[in-house]
Amino acid sequence: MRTTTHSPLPESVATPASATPPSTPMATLNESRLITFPQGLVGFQSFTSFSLSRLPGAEHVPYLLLRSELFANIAYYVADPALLGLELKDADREAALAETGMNPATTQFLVILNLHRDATPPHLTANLKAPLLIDVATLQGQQVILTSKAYSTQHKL
Amino acid sequence: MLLITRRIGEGLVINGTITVQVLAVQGGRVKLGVEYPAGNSVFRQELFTKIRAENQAATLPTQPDATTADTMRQLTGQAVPQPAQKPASKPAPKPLGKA
Repeated sequence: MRTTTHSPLPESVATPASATPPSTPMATLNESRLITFPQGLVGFQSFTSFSLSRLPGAEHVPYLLLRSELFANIAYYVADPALLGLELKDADREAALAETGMNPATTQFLVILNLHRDATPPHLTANLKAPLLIDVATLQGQQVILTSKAYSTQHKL
Repeated sequence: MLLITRRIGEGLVINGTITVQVLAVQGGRVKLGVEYPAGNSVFRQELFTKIRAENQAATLPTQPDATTADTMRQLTGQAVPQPAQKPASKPAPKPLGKA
């Protein structure tokens, strides 16, 4: 992928026209953005470029769609853990920020959601153990594995 | 696989930038010290494997069906449309590293 700046978005990704985001840094993630993960996701180093977007017509759901730019069949639901009532401890956030060298003022944590469709009953889990850090200023991201044993890769929602 | 025998206090250098040192050996456990430049990452292998598996498991189906949307709607109590589809250009690559 050639650029990390405000690139033209794929036509299939709708930009919400109406919703005016609040003035917090994390609100900017509500818009469609291209995010570069220089190291890819854990175990998938070739997944370096993703579009992050609101689902078209679903401005009020607490999660976003993270779709690989290169591999269109790779997509995740992701969410701000706070919107799901989940908490990453400040100490763990700080450790992750220090490890990645990312800017605390502009970096947002998101967690990957896993929909267990075939389970009975179907349920959602969140990967709190390996959150995504996204700097909304540089549009760079990194997946970090937290060292604390307090977090599960499949935290049930 | 490269096999190297090391004593306590001895180490390895990888790519000229990463050092691995044997710090202690006790009861079948080896304590290693790893120094590596920023931008690299080092994980316990089983943890790396677990996170990779979870990343794979959380991938949405290529063609999310009605069940997916229904389940998300149920679980979140919100209306959830299906994500916009892009034509699949390439098959997903296999995970890197050992299976």
